[in-house]
Amino acid sequence: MEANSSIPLNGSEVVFYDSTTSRVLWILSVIVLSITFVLGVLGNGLVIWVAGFRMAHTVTTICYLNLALGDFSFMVTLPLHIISMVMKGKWLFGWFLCKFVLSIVHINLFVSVFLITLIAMDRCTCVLHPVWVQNHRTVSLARKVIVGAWILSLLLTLPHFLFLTTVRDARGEVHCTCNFESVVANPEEQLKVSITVSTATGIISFIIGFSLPMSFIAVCYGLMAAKICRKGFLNSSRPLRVLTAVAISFFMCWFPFQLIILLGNIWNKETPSSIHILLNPASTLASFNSCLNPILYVFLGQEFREKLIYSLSASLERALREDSVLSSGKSSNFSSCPADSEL
Amino acid sequence: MEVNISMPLNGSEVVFYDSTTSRVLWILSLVVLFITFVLGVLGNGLVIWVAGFQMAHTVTTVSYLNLALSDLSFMATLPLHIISMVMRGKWLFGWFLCKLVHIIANINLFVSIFLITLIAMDRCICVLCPVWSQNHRTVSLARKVVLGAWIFALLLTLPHFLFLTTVRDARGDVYCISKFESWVATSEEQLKVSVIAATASGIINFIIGFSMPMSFIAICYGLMAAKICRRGFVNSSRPLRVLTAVAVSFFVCWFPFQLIMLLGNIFNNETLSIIHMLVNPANTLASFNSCLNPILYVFLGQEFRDRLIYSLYASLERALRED
Repeated sequence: MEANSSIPLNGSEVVFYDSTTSRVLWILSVIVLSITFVLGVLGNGLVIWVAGFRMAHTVTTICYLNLALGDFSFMVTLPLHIISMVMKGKWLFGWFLCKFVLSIVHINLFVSVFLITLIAMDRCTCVLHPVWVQNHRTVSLARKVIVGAWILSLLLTLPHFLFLTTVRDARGEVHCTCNFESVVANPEEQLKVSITVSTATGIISFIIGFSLPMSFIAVCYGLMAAKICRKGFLNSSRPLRVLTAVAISFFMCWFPFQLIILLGNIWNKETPSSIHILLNPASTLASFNSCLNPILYVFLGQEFREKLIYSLSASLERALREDSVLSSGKSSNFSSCPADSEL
Repeated sequence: MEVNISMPLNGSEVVFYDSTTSRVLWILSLVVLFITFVLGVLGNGLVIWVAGFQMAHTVTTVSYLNLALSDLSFMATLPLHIISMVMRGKWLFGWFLCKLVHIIANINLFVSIFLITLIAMDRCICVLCPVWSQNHRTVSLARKVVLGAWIFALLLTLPHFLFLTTVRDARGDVYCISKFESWVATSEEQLKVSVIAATASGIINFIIGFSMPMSFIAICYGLMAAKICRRGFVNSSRPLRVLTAVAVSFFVCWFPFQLIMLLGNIFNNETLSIIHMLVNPANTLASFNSCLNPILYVFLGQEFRDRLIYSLYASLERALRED
């Protein structure tokens, strides 16, 4: 049974070589995933609270709320991936969680890129057709489109859901991987079907889950730039800056992973070992994207950066300063002002 | 050659059992050490910049500056400990770094506790003898006392420095441990000397590096409480709150490690396997103390917490708002 290499963070993908490089990469991946989990749960939770309960619902807040929901649901399952990675690919959590958790990973992949594309197209429409936007751009329409994005993600994840199951290997260890035993009888046919399905889903994931959305986003930026350039694109509005940061971070985090999976599918039988070694860090970098967005939202604000730096410095100074009465150098103040001398 | 278990973060202390529990503890220790390194370098660097260059030098700032210098020097060596832990105790960095890195770890242990004790005694004297403080408490005197603390820590670390070296085992792996080959000829004598040295240094570490300073701090707090209680101890001033947080965090982080080391020395030949398993997490918790202080300084201020929470909220709201 060949592992389905198109599944991100599938434990059975974790290939270990008893070398220093692969061990260091493995440890670093575990560390980064743990940091991702902490920051992702806190950050996305904060976004959900602010965008879902504190702010008025607009097209923008609904998009970012759903983006945070997708990321948050993935973050919640991340500890299971970390434990599976620590156990060198073994899966301890049973059949149901095998299907459920890895499906969430795929849904998060598709939903994230779809929502970012929708936000880009929304902003493009606002720039190019402001009159149409005034009349037709509504919150309910946005909700319908977002529900469509979720449904499309679910449909694209369905094949993985159907075939994912727990498989026991010759040593009795349990892994979470795709199994076509119920579809095809003999092992040779199973291998053939596995390769075919793996290649097909890999290509579909790359096209629908990465290259097509990225192309849409690039086209939107081209159109907006053509219209806005005389106004100074660099000084563009805050919503556009937020979208730019989110889109670029998505591209940077997911491109290595998507490229490696695509190459792995193309060279299915002759995959170089360097690709196997890089699969782990690439998955980790892709996962890290899910905790980046809240950080980007906050740090894009110049006021927050300056205020934070000043607050840090001021707080440290106050913590390290002595009592003013002691440094005044007058003992009479000490005795005459008992309230000030409280320790 | 018996491992000198009194050496904090000595790679050769890392004992691995091929079980799920020990592996999970090992991974968790690595994760926490990595976070400690990042927060420790940033936090202590910030303290050094503020206390060393932005603020006027007082007795308090000189003490906390030295505390941050000690923590930062330990943080700078932490990646080597992490890599050694990943390599299951093997030491890749040669003889010189073997000595230097572990000396810094030990010095940090002693200097931290000495400085916290000095700060507590300083505050106690300010409360009990304010007139004497006005006349004799000076920055130059504080510098001399702090320098004495550093020298004392160096002296206490000297035995480790002398005996630490790299040792190659039968499989050709290199470890960083204490070795007495140049002092004693026979293997049997080496083992005996090793046991005696480990026990002696373990007990000295516990007494001078933990229990005595903690006793001094407790006494200072008792004396201050006796004098201040009628004014409302709970509303004590900010310097005392900072000191309390630093002292409590030191105790919480180092007590498990010191206790395990002491028990390990007492049960030297019959050390329980659970103690071996816990050495790693206890080491990690002790190391975490070096990045805690800057976080405590900042978050003790109510204004900072309020401002941070509001800033986070406001920034998020502005980012998600439309034009």
